[in-house]
Amino acid sequence: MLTENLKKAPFRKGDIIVYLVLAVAVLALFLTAGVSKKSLGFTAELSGNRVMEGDFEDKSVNFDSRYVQKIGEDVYKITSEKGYNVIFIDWQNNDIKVTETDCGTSKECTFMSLKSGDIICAPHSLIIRSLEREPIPIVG
Amino acid sequence: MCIYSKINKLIYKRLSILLILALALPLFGCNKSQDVALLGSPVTFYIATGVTEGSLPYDSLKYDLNGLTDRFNGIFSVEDESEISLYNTENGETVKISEDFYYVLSVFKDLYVKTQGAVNPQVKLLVDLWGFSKRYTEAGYYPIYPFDRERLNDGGFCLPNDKYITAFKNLADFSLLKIYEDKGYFVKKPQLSVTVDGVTYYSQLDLASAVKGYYLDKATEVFKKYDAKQYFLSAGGSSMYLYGKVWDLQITNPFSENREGYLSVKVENEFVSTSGTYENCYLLDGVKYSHIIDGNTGKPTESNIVSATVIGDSGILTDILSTALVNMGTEKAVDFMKTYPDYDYVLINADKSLTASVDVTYL
Repeated sequence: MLTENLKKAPFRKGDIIVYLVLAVAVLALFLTAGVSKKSLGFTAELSGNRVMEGDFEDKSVNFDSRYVQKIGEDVYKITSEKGYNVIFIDWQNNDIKVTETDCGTSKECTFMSLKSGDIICAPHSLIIRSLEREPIPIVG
Repeated sequence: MCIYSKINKLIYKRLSILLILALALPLFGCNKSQDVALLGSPVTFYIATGVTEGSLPYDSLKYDLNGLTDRFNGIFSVEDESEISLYNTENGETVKISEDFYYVLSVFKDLYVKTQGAVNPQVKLLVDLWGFSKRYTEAGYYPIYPFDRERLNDGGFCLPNDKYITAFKNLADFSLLKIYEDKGYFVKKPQLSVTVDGVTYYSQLDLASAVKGYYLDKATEVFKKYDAKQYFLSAGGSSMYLYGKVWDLQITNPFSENREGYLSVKVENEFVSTSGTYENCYLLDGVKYSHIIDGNTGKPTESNIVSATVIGDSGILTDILSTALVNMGTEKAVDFMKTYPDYDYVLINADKSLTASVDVTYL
């Protein structure tokens, strides 16, 4: 049945659009489907410099007060000359959410979750990265 | 054609294309990690900050690292077409070599003199004679050279014939090799040969005790290019570079068959190399024979040091020195390292005593 129909159905110009849509859809599936991984902690970097780090296991936070201020319960404001991002640390779910920012109209970082990968605010050069246990270097 | 037939035709055609795409896509997946192997040993790295795994700079970094590894393998590996293999089979008196080859030889020339022969790259035939060449670890080994030995029932070998030990030791006079620059880089091969039972042998080079360290010297330039801020890089597990913060580096336990940590030492922005008699050795009649050959005796080292770690600002130097210290033994090694005051060392002795110029912690 399949072979017969393939033979009977000649290739048409309009089919190109269908195939392209299908290819993009499948590609998007590969690129975006992620596996949530258990995060043991996180770091926040501004322009590659670490300004904050937290440990989900012992619920501790360290930060550089020149760039980070605690403004509420588990809420921190990260500020640079490019702007600010307010983050909420969800200790229960080992997650970080950006709740407020002035990084433009799209504010894509507010839709990101640490469970799915790094949270990136490109206009502010901010990356919030999930930390798994760091490997131990061993020589010999 | 009825409507159901038309729909059927449409569905089957689209589904078949979708199926082909879904099956084919993994072949074109991005961020495919590729194993990088330097002289058959893995090159691994971990970047803590500066370059994110999966990003374009990360992929570019790996690509550049692969290119560097290919270049080094093309010069220093034991593969037939490598530069060193061609050198070893070249019968001519003067051979043109690459700048990398020349540089490694120049460092060896300097340290051969300073260590009074405790490090010697002109021992390839001795390494092979004692059973530490790659062909001995491959399945299907069988004797092909007059000096080869049959395998014993337990998989090992009897000791090599003394006449070959003496003959090949005579080929290990590295002072006779000369290098020079003249609109290119050249090496004047030592005109050394020995004839045993009618077969003539010539001196050959084995630069393995320097290549991993030198590779790291070059690899750090790649990491700098992509602005990796905190990372460590390992070539074959025995040479490393640690950068960007104070790392708690573990030194392997030489008394255990598992590759577990034994000591911890703090390292920041430095190269580290470890050589040891435990890495590649065999037992025969209760005596351990190590792959570290002493060119002065023509035999595996009889040193009391089972593991020597050197820490400093040059990959090639830490690599070569770690081997030299093993051959020297503890007393001479400690004395020798006074000539390198900016370098640190950790010597683990056969009786489990420790001699170190830096603070270490037992794990």
